[in-house]
Amino acid sequence: MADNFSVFVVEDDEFYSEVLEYRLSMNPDITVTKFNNAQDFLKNLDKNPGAITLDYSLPDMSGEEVLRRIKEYNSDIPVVMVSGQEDIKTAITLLKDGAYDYIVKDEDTKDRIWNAIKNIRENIGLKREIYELKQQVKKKYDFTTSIIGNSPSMKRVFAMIEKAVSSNITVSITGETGTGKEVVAKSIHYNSSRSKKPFVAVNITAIPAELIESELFGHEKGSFTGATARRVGKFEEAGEGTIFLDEIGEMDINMQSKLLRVLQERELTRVGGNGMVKITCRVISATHKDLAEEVRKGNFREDLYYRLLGLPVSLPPLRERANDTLVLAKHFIDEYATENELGKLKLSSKAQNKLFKYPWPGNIRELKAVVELCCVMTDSNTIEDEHITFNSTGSIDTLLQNEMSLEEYKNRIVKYYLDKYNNDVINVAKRLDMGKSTIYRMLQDRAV
Amino acid sequence: MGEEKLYNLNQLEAIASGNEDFVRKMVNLFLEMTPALLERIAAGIQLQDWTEVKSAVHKMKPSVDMMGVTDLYQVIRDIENNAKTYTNLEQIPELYFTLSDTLEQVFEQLRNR
Ligand SMILES: Nc1ncnc2c1ncn2[C@@H]1O[C@H](COP(=O)(O)OP(=O)(O)O)[C@@H](O)[C@H]1O
Ligand SMILES: [Mg+2]
Repeated sequence: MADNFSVFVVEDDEFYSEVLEYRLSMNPDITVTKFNNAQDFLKNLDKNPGAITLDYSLPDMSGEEVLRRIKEYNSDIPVVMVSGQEDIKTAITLLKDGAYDYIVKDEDTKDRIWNAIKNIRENIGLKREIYELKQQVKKKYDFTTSIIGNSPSMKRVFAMIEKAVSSNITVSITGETGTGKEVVAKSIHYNSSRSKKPFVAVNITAIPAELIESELFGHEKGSFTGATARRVGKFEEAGEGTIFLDEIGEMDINMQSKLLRVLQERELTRVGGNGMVKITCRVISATHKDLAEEVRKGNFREDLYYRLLGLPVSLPPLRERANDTLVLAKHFIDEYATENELGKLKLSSKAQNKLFKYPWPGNIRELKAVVELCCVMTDSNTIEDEHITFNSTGSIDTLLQNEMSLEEYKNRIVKYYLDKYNNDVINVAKRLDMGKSTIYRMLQDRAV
Repeated sequence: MGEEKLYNLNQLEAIASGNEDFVRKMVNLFLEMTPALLERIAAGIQLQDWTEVKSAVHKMKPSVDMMGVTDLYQVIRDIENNAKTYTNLEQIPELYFTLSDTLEQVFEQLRNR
């Protein structure tokens, strides 16, 4: 990379920052600017550094808060957090909040610096990588290749997506679980003029009712027990991008009124705050429920229903998509085989018949899981009907025959639940009776 | 001087890769910064302000490590850990004397380097 690359070193330990600066500057393409407090640094953020190393404990502001402000300003800048102590919880939180890496100052100094350099160097490559990744994401959400289906019912869906893409209109998506509501939402976003801005998904069922408001609208420090720092909500995070309100049908009625007001005014107030914040994002909502029916039953506000309706996209269940089941099955088999270097896998005609006849209550999500299990079960390059198991209890014995380690089984089970419950960590933690943080850590380690 | 060197600049020199100016700059910075940190630790011990002790010794750690003062590697960590966890606090003054005595010698050796 020939261009000059600017690195901001935000560090109040003078000795450490000198060393870092010197070491980084050895690469003539890198220009280092040092800051020893958060205020000065934040004032210069508009100079758009290529990477930032950020000391977690600065004298004037918490590292978390500084990180948040950086991400708010430009979520693409890689931030390497440098912390005095090993603290897995902090590390996970920071990584979740978008830090590129987390380095502990406590390790041997040389390694520490070397690591920092390595990470930042990688970050230089990362800039390009991010760009390429974005292109990939774009390609991935090119709906003509990412949303598979040739059935007449899907052709109607594609037509609606096209309309949604070329306008700014609010979109509401309905369909049973696993029919592809989220893929459609992403496709719309990544093909629209907002594609370079954030896509922020909020699953209403994944958040305890009492926290939804602050999750969506943010809160001021001290506005309730546990609000230890100011926090922007998902609406603000989405900026000029798209907010995806998933499972909107589960929102409680009080919150519905608050959301309605915000959507009407296009302005929100953070919990415990009094200033107004303008809303600029597009809103896409989704539900597996029949919202019109919920309105009739009095469970959903009629005015909010109409406010959200916009362009309705209704996803048919898989069993109403004619031959798409087999097209999708082949697609997932190819995908799985390529990822796991299994060579070419075929479906026997009996197997095809079995897939075709099944009603698929879990729709495409279920199809994908079933098909991937088949790929594991077969020992040859052909998937036979006996390799196909539809309910998880039937397959547990066969799964056990794999003789994996307990750790691997654990990962598999958690992954299964996460897939099944749409990555709803809180729900999965409850069902498996395990700690949320354990699951977050597994996600962080990419174990699942 | 026949006495054994208490510091070792190998790490720093490795980073400097031949730039003697940089080594000199860092040595000077170390000589400038460290006495003030020692004072903070001493004051903290006197006031039994263990948070202050912990934070000052924590700040001292990277530079002392980098200067290769291996005798102090464990001492610094013991002080930090005791102050942080409020355990064996009675050992801290003793550890502090080892720390400051050793550092005084290191300062002297570095000035005459
Ligand atoms: N038409 C499709 N083509 C390919 N993959 C799909 C399609 N529809 C859904 N999927 C896949 O099925 C899974 C479930 O989709 P998702 O959008 O999460 O469903 P929903 O939000 O409706 O429950 C995801 O892995 C998604 O990528
Ligand atoms: Mg979903």
